[in-house]
Parts: sequence; structure tokens; C-alpha cells
Amino acid sequence: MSAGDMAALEQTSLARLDLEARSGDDPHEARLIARLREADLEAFEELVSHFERPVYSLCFRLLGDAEEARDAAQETFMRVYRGLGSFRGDSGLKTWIYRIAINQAMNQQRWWRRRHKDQTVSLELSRGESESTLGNLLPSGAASPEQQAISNEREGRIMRALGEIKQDYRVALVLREIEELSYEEIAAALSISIGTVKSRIARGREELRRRIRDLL
Amino acid sequence: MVSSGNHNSAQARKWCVVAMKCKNFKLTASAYLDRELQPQEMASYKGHLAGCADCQSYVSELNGVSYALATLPRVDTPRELHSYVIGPIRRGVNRRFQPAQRLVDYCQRLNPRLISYGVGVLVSGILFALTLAGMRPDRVIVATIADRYVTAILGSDREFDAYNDVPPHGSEGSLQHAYELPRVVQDSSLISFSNIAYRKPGNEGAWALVEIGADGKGRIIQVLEKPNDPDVIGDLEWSLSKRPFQPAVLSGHPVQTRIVLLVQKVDVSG
Repeated sequence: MSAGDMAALEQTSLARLDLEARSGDDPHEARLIARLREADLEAFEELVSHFERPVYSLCFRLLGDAEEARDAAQETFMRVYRGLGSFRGDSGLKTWIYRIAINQAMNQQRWWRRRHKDQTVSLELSRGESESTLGNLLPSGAASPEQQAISNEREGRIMRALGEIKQDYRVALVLREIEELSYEEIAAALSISIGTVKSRIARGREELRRRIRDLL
Repeated sequence: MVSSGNHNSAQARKWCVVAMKCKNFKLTASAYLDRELQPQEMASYKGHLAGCADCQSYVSELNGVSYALATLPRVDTPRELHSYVIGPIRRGVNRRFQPAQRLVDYCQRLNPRLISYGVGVLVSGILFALTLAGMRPDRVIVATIADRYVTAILGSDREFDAYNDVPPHGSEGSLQHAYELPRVVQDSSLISFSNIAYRKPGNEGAWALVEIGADGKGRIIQVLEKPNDPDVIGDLEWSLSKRPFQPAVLSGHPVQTRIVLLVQKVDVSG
């Protein structure tokens, strides 16, 4: 897939850039936003409860470190709280929060890389490392220890490969494949055209395919 | 031979066309998997896919990539995250108008390393200042000596006359008119004599006969025992000129008198 092909794909799809449905389309979300603008703390708690898992998951998949992901998620919600007054509702609440989370994770990763140039960010760390319990580490009832080990090894390979591909592709892939956002939602969250979304996802899949071909 | 050559050339061109077509279709394979193709593109791609084993294999692998990512184990959210987010905000709402809390919040947003450096410098400065303050001569001891030994000396007129080699006056041998010997004034004497203490390190000692005027100024009449450093006498002369004394008092009036002054400088370390 050449760069020219990708550019052409982006151009043809540029005209189809269409932000996701406005926040006003969802009455519940509209009510929630109205309460948030009135500095209703319970409304914000509701928002955190609803989005903490996807936001943390997104940060973890982008950063590959449980502690870093927790800090990024925390800072994301703090920024959301501080920015509620300026939220115009041009995009959906979900994409707005995702955009903040992505920016926060990327900034944090740049900060980390500047100060730890000799170290690499491991994407192989176990999930939820900060809060792992012995029960979590034990294999589930359905999987044998061997199967669990194989599964962990496979996850490690995939996460390592994901960490090796270009950052833009990784973000697009994570949003699409893991967070299951639509192309429109990804375009809105990243402030790019749908053509660019298609291009980044296609390139990301291609690069990942080369790296984990033996697992497929 | 010519016919065979043309046939090979045609085959190569056909292969190139197919390869280019596959390459173009690979471009859309990802969008095909996500069902993001237009109906016409979808039909075209399906038509090609039906007859191209390579593209079928490629799509299958891309599908495997999607499946691999989609089936990654679910990430457990840290239990403490909720309280980490809500706690500061709740505290912030309760204390929004408290200046101290706002200052703390502001400091928390600064770089923690810079804050730690600043606190370290501040604490070091305070400790350094305290150390320097502790190395100065102990003022309390000097004051105690002055209170206990100098100001307590009282005597009769006769003693005063005898000590100062003047003819007796008033009623002879009278003890009715007590007098008071000159004494150092606590604050001004400390300031006056401090130049001796701080000029040079090292212990020093000197005896001198000093005349204290009615105005409290002193002057050296005779050096009875010279110090090691001759500059000490000059410093002493200067100190005496700064009114460090309360003059002798006779019948309620200040009078001139003479005293033997012992100057002893002791360096105190630690």
C-alpha cells in the first residue's frame, strides 16, 4: 500500500467527513450535560462511573503501563471537569472525552520519553497491575494453566507489536478494534477526516499483520 | 520463437495488471472488513475476491488481526480511580473559596520536582541562618556579668574620695551620702565593645586605668597590661569614646572618676 494510494483514499473520503450525531440527539446525554454545566457533582460522578472503564482501557492500551494509564485517566477526568464550562456540544460527549484522553495519553507518553530516553515503555505489562490480586492472577475456571500461559504470551506479543507501530496508527486501531468506535466517532475524536481514519486503520492493520503473522 | 516471445510478454503484462489490481484492492480490504465501502466498491471488490486466492488470504489475515485485537482480555479498571477523581473535586467544591486551599491546589499543579527543590533551598537557608546565629557571642552572659558585678558596687563618699585621690568633702567620714561607681550601660556598651570582639579571632586581655567623665565617655589614662595585639588599645579607646558608661553618681549628681578596666576577649566556638 503506497503513500500515494493512501493519500488518494484520504482525498476521496474527505468530502464525506461527517461528525457524529450531536449531543442533542440523545435526550439522556443532553440532560446530563445540562446538569454538568450547573456544576452538579452527582452528575459528574455519574459521568465518571460511565466512562472510567473505557477511558482507562484506552489509556492503558495506548501507554501500556497501568500506573501511567491510571494517572492519564485521572488527569483526563480532571480536565473534563474543568472544561465542562467550555464544552459547546459540537461533538458528542463521548468523543469529546475520548479526545481529551488521547491527548493526555500522548502528552504523557512524550513527557515519559523525554525523561526516560534510555528506557522503553513496555506494552507487555499485565492488565491492572496496580490493583492485581492473587485471584486475578489465577487462571479462570475454563482455562488450564497451559492455556492461560499461552494466552498471556499471545497477548504480550500483540501488545508489543501494537507498541511498535506508528503512534497515529496505533491510536486509530485501538479506537476501532478495541474501543469499537465507528469511523465517524474516530474522525471526531481525532479531528481528522474519515479518509484519514480509513488510511490509518488500513496501514495499522497492515503493519500489525506483518508483525504477528505467525499468530494468525 | 517470435510467437513465443509475444506470448510471454502478454503473460507478463497480464500478471502486472492482476498484481496492480490486487494492490488496489488491498487498499480497500480494511474498509471492506469494516463495511465502510460504497455499494459499487463493495460489489467490485467482492467480484475480484471471488477469483483471487491471494486477496482472499490477505483479507483473512487482516480479519485475524482484527480478531486478535478485539479479543484481547478486558482491562480491569483500578478500584481507586473513581475516588482519585472524585475526591479532589469534592474537596475543591467544599473549599473553593478558601485561599489556602487554592494555593495548595495551585502548588499541586506545578512541577513537583521544582517544588521539592524550592523547599530544599528554603530549609537549607533557614538552617544556615540558625547556624550563623548560634555562632555569635552570647549576649546574655555579658548582661548577667554587668548586672551582678558592676552595678552592685556601692560605697560611701569617703571611699569615693580616697579612690579618686581627691580631698574629702562634705562631713568628714560621713556615711550618709552613698555614691555609685560608674558602670557599663548594657545596650550601648555591648555595641561599643563589639568591635573589639569581632575585629580579629583569638583570645586577648588588657588592663588599663580609665577615666570616666560625667558625660559617660571614657579615656585611657594608662595601660597597665598590654595586649598581644596593639590594635586592641586603639579599639578600646574608640569604644570608650562612645559613652558606654553610666558615670559615677555622688549625691545625685554625675561626677568624673577613674576605674581599672579589665578587657578580656575569649573566642567561643561551636
